[in-house]
Amino acid sequence: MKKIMLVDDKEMSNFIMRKFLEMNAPDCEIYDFTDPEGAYHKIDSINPDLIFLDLNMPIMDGWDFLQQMADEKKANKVAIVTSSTSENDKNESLNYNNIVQFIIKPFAAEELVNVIDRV
Amino acid sequence: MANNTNIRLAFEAYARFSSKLMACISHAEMQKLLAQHIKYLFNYKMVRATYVDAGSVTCQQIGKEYNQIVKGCAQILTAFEQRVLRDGIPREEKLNNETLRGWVFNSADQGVLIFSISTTENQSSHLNQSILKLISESLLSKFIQFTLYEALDSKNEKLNHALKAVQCKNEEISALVSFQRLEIAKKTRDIRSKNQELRKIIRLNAHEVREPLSRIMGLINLIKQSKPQLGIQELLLLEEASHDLDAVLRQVIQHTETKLKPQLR
Repeated sequence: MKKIMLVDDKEMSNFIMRKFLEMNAPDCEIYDFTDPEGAYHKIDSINPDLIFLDLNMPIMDGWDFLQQMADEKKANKVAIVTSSTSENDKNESLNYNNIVQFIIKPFAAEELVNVIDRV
Repeated sequence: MANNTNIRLAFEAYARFSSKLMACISHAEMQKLLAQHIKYLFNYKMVRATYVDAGSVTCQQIGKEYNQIVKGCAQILTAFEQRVLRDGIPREEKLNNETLRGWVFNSADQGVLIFSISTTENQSSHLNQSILKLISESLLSKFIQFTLYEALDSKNEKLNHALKAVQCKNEEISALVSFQRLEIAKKTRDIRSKNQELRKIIRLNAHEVREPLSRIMGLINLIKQSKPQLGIQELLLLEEASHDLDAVLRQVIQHTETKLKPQLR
């Protein structure tokens, strides 16, 4: 059973994501967080196979989260899930080796299933 | 025997004159030297050493009563000097109780010297031609040297003027360059500031504006997949409107990024 972490400051986004996963990838164990810092500190104990990470969050945004992972050499796979269609964001995501997918909201259920299958 | 002694004395006087002439650096010094030494070489009422070079005339006149330096054009030549210059050969003329004698000496490619002496009846008319020739040639060399110095001074002065003009222009250019640098720095700051503002706008459009929309669209997808029994028609309309809004926002973001791409880096 794959372990999935959801990190998005909007509760409704996590709700939508969780529902999609429950319907389309029922074999996953899901941990959702609206507080990125709290989520970060749980990475080692949960050791997720994949983290679905939002970019635009207060206090600690998605880039801070990724940079801290790189600094502390955490290699867990990350799929960015953002409402941003900016090319700048997509290009910046190329700087992190552990990013496996850049998903733009709203996403199709197949996108989530495909990326979970790959990790 | 007495003649030999006179010749020896004359050559000694010439040697002293010649060595001091070499050290002269101005017409005034030359005149002072002539006034001091010429009496040991010749009997005279008046001696004129006149240098003519390309229409320019400089005359050293040594007299019993007064000395003078005259500079000017051919008009300052005396009628006697003009005749000597015209004929190019030694000339002797008597005027009342005075005897005028004149010689002309040519240099290779510079001016000519007219050396003339006037004597009264009481003064000996004897002249040592060798001494006279040596003195005239020494004076001619000195006149040529002074002329070259003057030409050099004139050129140096022109060069200094040109140098000052160039320095003045350089200062103007430096001031202009400094002004331009300040302007460029100011414009660069303005552009950077505008770019930062535009980045903020892009970020706002990309994240903040689309975020609620993406949730609406996500919910719609979720409800569709859950196959609800009620309100499907309304949901389809909501979906269509949401997609339209999304398309417009994507277009705005893409357009802004394309237009500003060269300035963003």
